[in-house]
Amino acid sequence: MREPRNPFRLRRSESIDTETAFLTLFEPGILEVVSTEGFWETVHILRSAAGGGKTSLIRLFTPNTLLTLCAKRTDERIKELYQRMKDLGAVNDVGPVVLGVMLMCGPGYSMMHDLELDQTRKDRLFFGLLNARIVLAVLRGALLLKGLEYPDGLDRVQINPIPGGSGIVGLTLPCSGKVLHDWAEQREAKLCSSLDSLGPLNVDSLPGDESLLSLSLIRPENILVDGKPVAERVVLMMDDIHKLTGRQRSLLVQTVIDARSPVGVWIAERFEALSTQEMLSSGAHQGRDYEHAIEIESYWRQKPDRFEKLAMKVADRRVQAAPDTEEIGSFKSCLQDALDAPEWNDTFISIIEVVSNRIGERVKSQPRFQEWIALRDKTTGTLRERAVAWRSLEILIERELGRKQKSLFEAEPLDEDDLSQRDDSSVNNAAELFLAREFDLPYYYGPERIARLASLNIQQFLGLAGEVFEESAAALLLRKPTALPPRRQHALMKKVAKAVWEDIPKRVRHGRELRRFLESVGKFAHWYTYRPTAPNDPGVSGTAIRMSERALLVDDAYRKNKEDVCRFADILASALAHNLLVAQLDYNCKKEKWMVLNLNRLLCVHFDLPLNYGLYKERPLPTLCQWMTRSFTAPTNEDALL
Amino acid sequence: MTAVLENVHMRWRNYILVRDGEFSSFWKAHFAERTRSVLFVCGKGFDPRTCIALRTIAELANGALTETMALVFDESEGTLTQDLREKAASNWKEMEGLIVGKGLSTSHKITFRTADGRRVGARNAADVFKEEARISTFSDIIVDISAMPRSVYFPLIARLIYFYDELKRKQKPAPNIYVVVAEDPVLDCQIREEGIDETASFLHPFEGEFNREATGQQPKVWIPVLGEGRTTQFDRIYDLVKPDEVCPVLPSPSRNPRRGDDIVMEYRDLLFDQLRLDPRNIIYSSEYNPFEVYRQIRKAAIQYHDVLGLIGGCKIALSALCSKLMSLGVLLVGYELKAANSLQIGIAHIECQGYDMPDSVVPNPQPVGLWLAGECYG
Repeated sequence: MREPRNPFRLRRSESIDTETAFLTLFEPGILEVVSTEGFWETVHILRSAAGGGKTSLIRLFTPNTLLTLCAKRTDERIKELYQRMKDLGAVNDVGPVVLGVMLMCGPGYSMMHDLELDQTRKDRLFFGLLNARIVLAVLRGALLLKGLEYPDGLDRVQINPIPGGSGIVGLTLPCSGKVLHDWAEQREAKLCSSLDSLGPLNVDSLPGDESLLSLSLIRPENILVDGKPVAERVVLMMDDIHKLTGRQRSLLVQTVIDARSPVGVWIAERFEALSTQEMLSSGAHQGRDYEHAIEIESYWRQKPDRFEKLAMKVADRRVQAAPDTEEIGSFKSCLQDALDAPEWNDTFISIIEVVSNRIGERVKSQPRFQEWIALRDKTTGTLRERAVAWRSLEILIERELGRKQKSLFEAEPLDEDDLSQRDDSSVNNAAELFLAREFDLPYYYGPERIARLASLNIQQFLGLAGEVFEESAAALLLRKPTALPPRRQHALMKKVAKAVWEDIPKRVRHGRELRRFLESVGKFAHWYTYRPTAPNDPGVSGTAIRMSERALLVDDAYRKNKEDVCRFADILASALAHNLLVAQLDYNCKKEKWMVLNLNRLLCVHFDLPLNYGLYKERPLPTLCQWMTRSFTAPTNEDALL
Repeated sequence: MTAVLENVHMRWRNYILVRDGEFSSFWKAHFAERTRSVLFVCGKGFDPRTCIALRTIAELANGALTETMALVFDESEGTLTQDLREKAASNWKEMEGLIVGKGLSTSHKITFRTADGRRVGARNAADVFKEEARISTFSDIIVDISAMPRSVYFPLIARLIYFYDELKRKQKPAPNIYVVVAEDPVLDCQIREEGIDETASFLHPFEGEFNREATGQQPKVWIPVLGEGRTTQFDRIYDLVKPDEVCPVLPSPSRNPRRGDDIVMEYRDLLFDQLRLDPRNIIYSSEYNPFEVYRQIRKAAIQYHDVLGLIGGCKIALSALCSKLMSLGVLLVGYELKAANSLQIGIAHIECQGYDMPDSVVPNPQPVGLWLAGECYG
């Protein structure tokens, strides 16, 4: 493989071929998502949408990565990560102290579920194959950790008996690593070749197990290399659990929890593994068989600022890893961050004139606003700030004019205090958004907004930042300024958002219907946001249903014979699984609890919406169901709708 | 499983491939040669090419058409639009007209998903023929893949060739096996897959060996045959295979001489920025000839096996992201190397929920026939 021209394009951990490159690009702050409490002993469920960072996290604890981490501990780019891993207890001054074994749970298991056998036999086959694969992965990991050749070094491995007997058919303990390996290899070969034969399937003599016996076998004290325990701890990290069937997944998780093994077990899965019912319950732990699932996006949702800072650090590492771009230095250097440069002066002078004239025209017969207008005339600041201030004033005047319940002192002039009470950063943000739309100004630019556009997903962020870096690096090559102007950044974000939007039917299950629904959400949010009074300033980026309505979506009795409700539940689950909608449960408002559904921020770009989360305008469930087939159209009579 | 590949017989070194005008003359001569008993297997699909091969064969068969088996695809909820369902019904009506009074008409339902939404179409497609006796009564079996998805015709054809080989091994009479397809690479590109599955998988029966943990340390080589509009599929299959080396196959020669370049442009981000592909890894193969695709992929697979055999071997994954005709080359390599048990080979694949076909599509199909097993091979 060649040197990466644009390291942002290496969006997957697997695309990074050397451990050094992986460690250099890994931002230690990502470790924040895992709790240090009971870190090594308990079962951890890691869950996210695709690209959330599960596989990278797992790779960090594998033998090759840990060995490289220890070897490069003095490297400036790796030092911090080494210290964090040391604090976690994964390494010490001598080297790695944990044997982390990564096991991919590919789709090979799911076919067992379809065999014409009784369920007990199918479960036995599942455990039989899983036990063999766990043993093989652990033995290979042990040799890697000790720097021994695979499989030649197996003779130096000894497997101690399990207290209470082996319980594994065809295996007598203690035995050498070689014996255990041969047992597992033969078992796996027999199962795989039978299940996948060119001819009809014959399952009569296939081996299986009652349970996940391998967990007892791979305890650290049971695996000796040259007479010494292989490591202080063993961690089994099972990735791609979503490829198992629902029953296999539940069986595995429950068995692992029940086993209470000293071997740490991590189970990583994508949201898509969850059924519609589970997906719509995600975030509310009632009825779950475990309590400590780490949902990566949910974790960052509590700390969005931390994520955005982390994203910038991730980006800086990528910039520094790019060849021949030392001059760029950091990701922020790729981005101009404001519209205060002289080339914007004429535009803002013109905007101020247009908006102030518009206000004058609107309230010319109403002296009560004259003081507000006079105050705005005296506003100081950059031209951009003054333009925003004028547009804010226009919104505030619209609100005053639109108030239904008139006060006793309606004719009283409004003074400076009244203005300062009403004028705040939210109105200013709404004004900035309005100006961008009305005067074709860039809005989606600058490091802060681009980090927000990631919607708390690192892969999405790398995609966006990669587009920016591509142009910045090209500019460097052409000896032009590397900081992209806001208009170009805005255009790039729009382009990516459009591509994501157009790809939805292709990439996502129920994609066409889902896109129709999202289009309605987007159009509705757009219409509501850009009302002259800017309600819910700076604007809404989604909708909401009552928690009681959400409960109906997963209530079998209610769903019965309601095709549209079932369909909507599936579509909603699909949108949540793919991070196209972001749900916030139990949101208290108007003395009720709500399930808020915000659009992925990249979709907000498509609909010219603000990038805040949490603000919404609720709609009843039947309306959302209608939106699957009938797109939202802005009403002629606003009051009738709201 | 290393260093035995020089002994693997190149099964399709010589082959019979007929197209266009030769297609009719071949079948005419074939049916005229002696009394035959033909099983014709086709898909009950929406593709406008569905009836083309059957039209010719039904006309020329002279009473040899003993049974026509239509595979009915149960793709579960919401897979096809109303428009496509109407097209499928219209195709079926025409097919019924073509075979009326010409032997038995049967149908076989292939369920694509389980109740909990998992894909099981490939295994069910293989089990269309569960025993050798079902095929041994025919002299010829013709599989028309024009209206079949890969997840159906790959396992189905693999099973038929396997039964053929078993019957021959037992020195019993075995039917000739043919594949026919109304080839139109432009149309193949215009039929867009929608709702592509989130994760790829290995197609049955080309999975088991590739996924073995015992050989997990071996490098993986991925040979995808590329076509237009399948970057999402490429990306997701890559995620499954996690290859150490990628050797994309591009169509050349092709009807459109720039087609290979256009495909490279479409995949450039994936190939060169994400995978950092060495352009020397690109393999070119004829758009017209699946046996040429077979030959090129086979050669590459064996070379990798031989070279990497020195350091413990490798696994080869194949994928067909291309026209139906080219995809047959992938199937042939997969079958041959798996049946010979000579290297660890898998066919990585991804399915979709439905299709979108623009109304403006004007098909320009050429009927193509491949004789895969039987008397011509001795």
